[in-house]
Amino acid sequence: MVMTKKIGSPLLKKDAVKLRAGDRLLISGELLAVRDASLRKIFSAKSGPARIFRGKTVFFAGPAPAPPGKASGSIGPTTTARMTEYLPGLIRAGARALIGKGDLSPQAKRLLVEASVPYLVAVGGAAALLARTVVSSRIAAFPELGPEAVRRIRVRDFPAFTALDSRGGSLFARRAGR
Amino acid sequence: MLGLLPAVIVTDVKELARDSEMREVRVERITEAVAELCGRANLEADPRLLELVRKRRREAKDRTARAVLGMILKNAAAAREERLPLCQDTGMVVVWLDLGREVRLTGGELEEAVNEGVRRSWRENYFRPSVVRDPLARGNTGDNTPAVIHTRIVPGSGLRVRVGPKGFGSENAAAAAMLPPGAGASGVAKFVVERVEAVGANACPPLVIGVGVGGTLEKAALLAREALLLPLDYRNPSARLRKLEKNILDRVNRLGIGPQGLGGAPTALAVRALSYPTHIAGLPAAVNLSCHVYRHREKRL
Repeated sequence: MVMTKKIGSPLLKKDAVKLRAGDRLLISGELLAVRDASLRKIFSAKSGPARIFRGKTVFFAGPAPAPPGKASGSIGPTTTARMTEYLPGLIRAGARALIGKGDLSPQAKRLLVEASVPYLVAVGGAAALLARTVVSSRIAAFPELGPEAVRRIRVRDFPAFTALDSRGGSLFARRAGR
Repeated sequence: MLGLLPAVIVTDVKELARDSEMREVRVERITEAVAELCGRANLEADPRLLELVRKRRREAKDRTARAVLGMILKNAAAAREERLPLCQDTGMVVVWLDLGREVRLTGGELEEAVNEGVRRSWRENYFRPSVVRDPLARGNTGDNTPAVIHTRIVPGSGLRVRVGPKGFGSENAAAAAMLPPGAGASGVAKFVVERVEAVGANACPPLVIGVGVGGTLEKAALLAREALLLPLDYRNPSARLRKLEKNILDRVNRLGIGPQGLGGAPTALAVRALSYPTHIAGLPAAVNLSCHVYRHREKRL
């Protein structure tokens, strides 16, 4: 049964595992935005800034600058497949759920399912619409990376879909020949 | 001397003379054009694209697909109302200049004028700087320059500026292949469909698919990219290429990748193919995907 679920973020583990592939979600709360350059920095460090991921909803994103008077510039998911090498680290660091866009390799999916970390997909290229759901956005680390800085983003009714759930249910599996 | 020539030739000579009148264009006008076109491409959705999305949404059976297509339509309105770019990835800018050979550029250097246009548009519109200075050392340039610039010298005294900012979710899905000469249209279609099957879900479908056939490796890649500047109601003058476009579109839409890769249909909205003569020993083919934010704008100066 497909339904729209309102969920809070960060998610409790017991709620994360209740998500089902195909759910339409409206997320309210905090997302932690990271992407290529910030993940490279975090996971190449010897000591553990990776602990910032504990319990968090990790959003693979690099927003456009906020024009004066707006909480955020356009913001949307970037391609999750590019973050594959960091997935084991994110899981070890205790990330609770991931938001990105696009399909994942079978190995990456297995990794997420085994860890009961659901993968949510937000609509790429709907970034003006998603910006409207941002209540606040501030840099948490690496301001020198500009659009790739780590950001804490508070959202209200941020729309997404459960693409891969903790039981292995997957929207991608509906593709021809799979 | 001219007076002795038959009238018809004189007319031709006069026309030639008119064509060959030197025209001076200040490069500042190119800067202004690039800035304006970058702004519009990133802020205003292509109306024909929206029309296609609306139509496909009405036909969509899948609930998720319908919801995604609905958000694409709502996003176009949100971008307009908020004056925010349609996508946070406002792209690396590719500029094509068709420069009439009778145009004399004054007031600065051509490429710097183009880059100044990009810089201005990014500053004025709060677009995201997405270009790194060095592909290996990385390091954001901060103003989205430089653009990738393709300049062609053409007859006459016209000047056409075409701009296509390209996000890398879709650019990363591009590919080229050197097919054997006998591979034919079916070989090209197979290559394109397999590429979309492998990585299309990451390129923000529903897609517009650009295909380049022939030339050399780099010519095929340029054609595939240039095909993504064509208006969506463009009808290919070649029946053979129209058939190829339709074949690819039908097959891609049977893959079931769907909007944002979440299943259902459509995976692609259109396929556009361009071709060029090639060598007896080969059949270069390239594919470049555009996400549903189909960004292309042009202007004549």
